[in-house]
Amino acid sequence: MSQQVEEIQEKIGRVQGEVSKKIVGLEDVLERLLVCMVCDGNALLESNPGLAKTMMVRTVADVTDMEFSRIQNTPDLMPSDVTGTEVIRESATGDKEFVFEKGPVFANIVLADEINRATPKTQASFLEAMEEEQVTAGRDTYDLPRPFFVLATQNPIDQEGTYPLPEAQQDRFMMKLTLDYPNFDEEAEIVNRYTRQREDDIELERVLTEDELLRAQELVRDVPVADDIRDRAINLVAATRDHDDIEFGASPRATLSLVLGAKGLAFLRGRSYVSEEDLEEMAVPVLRHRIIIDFRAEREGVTEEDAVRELLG
Amino acid sequence: MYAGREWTGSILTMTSAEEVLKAEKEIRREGAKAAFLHAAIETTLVFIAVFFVVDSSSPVWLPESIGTEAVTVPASAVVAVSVAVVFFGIDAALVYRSRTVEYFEEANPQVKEALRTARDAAKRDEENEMAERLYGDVLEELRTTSSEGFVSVRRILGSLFLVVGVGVLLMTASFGGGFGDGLFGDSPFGGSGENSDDEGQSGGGSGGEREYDDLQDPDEVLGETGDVTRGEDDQDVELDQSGTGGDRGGETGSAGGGSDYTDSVEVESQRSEYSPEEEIDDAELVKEYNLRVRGEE
Repeated sequence: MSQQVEEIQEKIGRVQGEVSKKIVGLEDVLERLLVCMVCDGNALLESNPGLAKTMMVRTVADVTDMEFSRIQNTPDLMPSDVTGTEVIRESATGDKEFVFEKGPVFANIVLADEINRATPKTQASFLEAMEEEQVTAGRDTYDLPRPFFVLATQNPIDQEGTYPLPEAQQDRFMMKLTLDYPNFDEEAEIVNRYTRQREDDIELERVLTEDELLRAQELVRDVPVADDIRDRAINLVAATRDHDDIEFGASPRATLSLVLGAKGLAFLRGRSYVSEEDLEEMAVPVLRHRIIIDFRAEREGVTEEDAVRELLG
Repeated sequence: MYAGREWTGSILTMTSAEEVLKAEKEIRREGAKAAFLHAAIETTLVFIAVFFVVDSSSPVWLPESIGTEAVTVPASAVVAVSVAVVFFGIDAALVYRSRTVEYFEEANPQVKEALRTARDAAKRDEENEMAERLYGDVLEELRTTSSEGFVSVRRILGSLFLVVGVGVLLMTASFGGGFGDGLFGDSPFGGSGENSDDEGQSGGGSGGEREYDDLQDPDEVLGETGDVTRGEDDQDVELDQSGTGGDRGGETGSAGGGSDYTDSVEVESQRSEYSPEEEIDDAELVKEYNLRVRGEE
């Protein structure tokens, strides 16, 4: 029993190792991405172009034996382009019937690239998929495969012609991960690695199956958390609603994500209990997209991360 | 399964959660032991210090001793014991309250968060795979931990140092005659010291001498020394013989046979005795002299 837990924890550790064969640096981001996956949550990745957001997500899919699909969001993308649509198909007998043609959202890992370029209507089509893990077309509802993740990316620059994600939709993402530029050594390693060989030349081993990931999700929810750590999470989220620099605080859904994220991080690190550090490390990625900074504080240069860190003390 | 327990033959085994709760009780018990140890040492210090202060200051409101005719106890010792008992209760309670499981967790950081989480999970009766794993890990870790953290070595050593220091001070003062007669001189097993025959002699105990205030000047009591002229006081005594003895003349006579004396001076007849060990005459003289010097006569 305990051996199986350790085996799954060890395999998730190997996922990180395999992804690192392609991705240089970004260990923290990768760890949080995996936390999202073992917590059955969705992640929003934000960075400037060219920082390997898409490559990271695709590589994770490659090493986890899961179906992967990518949706490039554009202003003319329609909801049916995401979820699928009913088409008239002629059967072998010559009868014509409506058949639901599944869209790209029917995959285990869905990379919604530059999601802020899609119209709110199309963005909304992701809502049901992300929250309910199902798609409704006409009168029928179709379950999405399990496990199911939406890993969306957005570009913080070049905002012309974009549709910033509504708060309600941002709240559906368990975490918002920001990717930073690599340091000199990391960039040198990137240059060395990818100017001598092609990306496809790097062989990856599939180390985690769908079933193992689903089992990991069950185990993560069973990770015990101490009462005082749980209370700290509740108080932290509640404090965002009263903070002077925050105009709009986080919802109870943020509390759920915070505690669950801390459990996921503990599980990834081979522990069977949540520590204070787990909670503190999860606070920024879980809360920063769920709060709105007051315009006066924003004018003074206060960011969402600053406000959360201040609340952490 | 029965109420969370597994029935295996004739042995009722505990679940992991129950084992964790039992371990928590064990930790609390260790905390109680540590509290007792702290309180006992510190109470000793308090007892000695209070006795030292009370006995040396001899407050006017405090009688010299308390008790019955058979057994008396120095009042300063009674006060010290009373204060010590109260102090022990308060100190033990305070230390016990501080020696919580959380204190144990702080003293053993390797199990801190795991133990805290396991306790909470066990109280919630969580019994899933991860919780069982946590319980197992915590119980395993607890085998390598120690309750030594409950004992504040610095505090214990500090208290012991003070106990020894104050004890030495007390003994020094006692031997110097400064104080301590209450404990060492007038012990209930050696007499109360109220008997004037004992005062100033041996004290009935280990030999401490009592100090007296406002002693008379011995020279004044005895007066000036000088030559004394020899005096003479002859008296005629007539003896009537009765009984079996015959008539006998003489200035002295023994009343060995119940003689009657008739004259203007009555002379009490007594058998001549002498006890060189007791030296009665000298002792009476010394006693009288002492009492007069002390102004107690």
